[in-house]
Amino acid sequence: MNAPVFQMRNVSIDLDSLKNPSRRIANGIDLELHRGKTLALVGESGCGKSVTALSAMNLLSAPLRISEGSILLETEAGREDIAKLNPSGSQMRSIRGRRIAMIFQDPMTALDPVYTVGDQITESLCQHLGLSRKDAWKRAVELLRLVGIPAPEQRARNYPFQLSGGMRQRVMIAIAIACSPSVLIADEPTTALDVTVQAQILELLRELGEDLGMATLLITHDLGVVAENADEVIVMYRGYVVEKAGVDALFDNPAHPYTQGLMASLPPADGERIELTPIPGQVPAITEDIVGCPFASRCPHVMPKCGETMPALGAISSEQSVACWLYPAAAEARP
Amino acid sequence: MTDRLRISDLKVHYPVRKGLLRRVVGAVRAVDGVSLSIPTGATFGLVGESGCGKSSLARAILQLQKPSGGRILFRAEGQDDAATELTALSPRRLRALRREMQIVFQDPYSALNPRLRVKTILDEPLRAMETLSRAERHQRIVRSLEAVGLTEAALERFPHQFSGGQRQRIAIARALLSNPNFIVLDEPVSALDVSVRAQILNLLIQLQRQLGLTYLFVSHDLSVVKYLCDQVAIMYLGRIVESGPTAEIFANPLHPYTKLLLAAVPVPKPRRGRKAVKLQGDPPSPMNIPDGCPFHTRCPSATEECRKSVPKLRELGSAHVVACHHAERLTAQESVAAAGNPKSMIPVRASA
Repeated sequence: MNAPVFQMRNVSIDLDSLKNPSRRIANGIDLELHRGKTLALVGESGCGKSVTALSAMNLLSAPLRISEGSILLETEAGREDIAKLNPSGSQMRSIRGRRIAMIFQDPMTALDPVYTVGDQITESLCQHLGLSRKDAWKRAVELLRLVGIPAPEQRARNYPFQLSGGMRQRVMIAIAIACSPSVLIADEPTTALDVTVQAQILELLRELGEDLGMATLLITHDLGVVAENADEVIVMYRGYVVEKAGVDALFDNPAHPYTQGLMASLPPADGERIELTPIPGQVPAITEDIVGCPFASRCPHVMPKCGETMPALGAISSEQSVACWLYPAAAEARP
Repeated sequence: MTDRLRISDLKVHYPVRKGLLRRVVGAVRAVDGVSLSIPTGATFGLVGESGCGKSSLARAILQLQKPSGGRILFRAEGQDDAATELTALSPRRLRALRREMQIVFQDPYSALNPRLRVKTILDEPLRAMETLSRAERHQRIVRSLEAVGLTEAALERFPHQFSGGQRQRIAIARALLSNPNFIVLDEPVSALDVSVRAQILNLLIQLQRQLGLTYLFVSHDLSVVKYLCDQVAIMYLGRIVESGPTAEIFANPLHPYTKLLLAAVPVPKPRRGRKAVKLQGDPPSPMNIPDGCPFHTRCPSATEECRKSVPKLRELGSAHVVACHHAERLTAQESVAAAGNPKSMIPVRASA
């Protein structure tokens, strides 16, 4: 496979506190994004998927910080470690929006209500590509057409409140792809949308990813969205990557007990009313100190070893790795 | 089977006011002539996208929102069939009936008062609805908590000390306090994570079996509706476009909207070949419902007739009703097309 355009290597994120010692909310995250491919990051609330997304944009601010690891992005100057850059410095600002862009969950709060959508698209075009206002406006209208907004000349002069939820999300996508970034981070891009609109937006993202050769990191909690859109999947639980697999391998043969639990919690596709098998208990609170595997308290296969150390990700096949002591051949203690 | 609830031609219109004198200039027709009946002990699913009127309908049934027209017949305790007309009841009689019908809201974070302890949250409705001694109330509260899988230890705590799933359990416990026989579940699992959602769904099924409850389950999540509901009605712009037994609707949808809605649901099975998105655009505003069939602006098979006349709900198959002029023709065409060419589908119309 080609070299990845974006790579997170052993990235950990800490939450600092004045009173207590720092807490680690993401532990040694490794991920790679490839041109035209989609990597899905799945997990439930509080698993660390959104902070991981923010760290990929180097958007964390106090009390959150990247405490170790590197985030490598292909730029004009070669591979750059953006984790080393000042998050609000000029160098980072010249990368953000130009090389790597983000789509947020709620298009109503992410768009500025007092500017027209056209103005909001032209902003990054003028900033990054040095276009004149007039040229940028023309390009903004083209972008609106590209993301499937009817009558884009008129719509560019609209304010966000004049658009429906689906159209607002299309505008956000237009802003994100304005400077043809090589990496697109989509944090729950369709969670706030209705299912018919969700299907339209996901299809648009797929097409754009392929046509423009963008690498996409899709953050979601919906396994249906994962199955239909991802090439590769990372499952997170309480700050750890517990499983990493190609999308077919993950759904055919979920390896980690947590992934298995998620699949068993879904209502069966044939609508048969068998009793669902939920995962007992709940995710341990972020304030709880955990030794060993964070899933041990809910795991049906828990062993004494699980309460002592958390295993690192180990490969169980060419396209699947898992962090669990159930696979002794693959598991080894985290360094 | 007797019906717990029967509603006919129910309407909920919200006035739209404008200008200095706040004159009424129009109406949002959130619910526009809905009729349905829910058999005792069944789970009835109400499905639709945001703004289709499903929550307005649920609230109107409980008289939390005064309907603009129509009848709501409820079978109260001791009656043989749905006979009490809720819209005509005096406030006092309605209040007495309220203990028989309860609601669980979508967001357990805003449905519980953050400043009250769980014991107060659960005690208040009991004091309002029943005349019981302190000891009896306590007993009832503990029984209700145990029914939802919590213990007495929860009583002294505040809502923020619980997770989302536990809060939803508390909200369900509150709904159960007055021994209701009908509960409206307004998106009760939409705010919950997958693993916790399964816990709550199991709990709802178990409570229904134990207590013989009748549910109206309002949701936009079709996979949950398919799993939980015996019957289902699909709403679009304030009207029911299709309704019938759940298995029948999912296996053999007749309305073009239902077909497109079902096709849009992401399935947790990796794609084998891309499926084309067939439904384009957004639903029109309920302030400005199109003439004729409300779906004709997005329907891939709309004809002149659809633009002119409103289709009535017609029965096609047992208990399966649909509001579409062309349901039979379209379904026949599709089965012919499917037999001839497995890839063919309804022609895609460019978005308006």
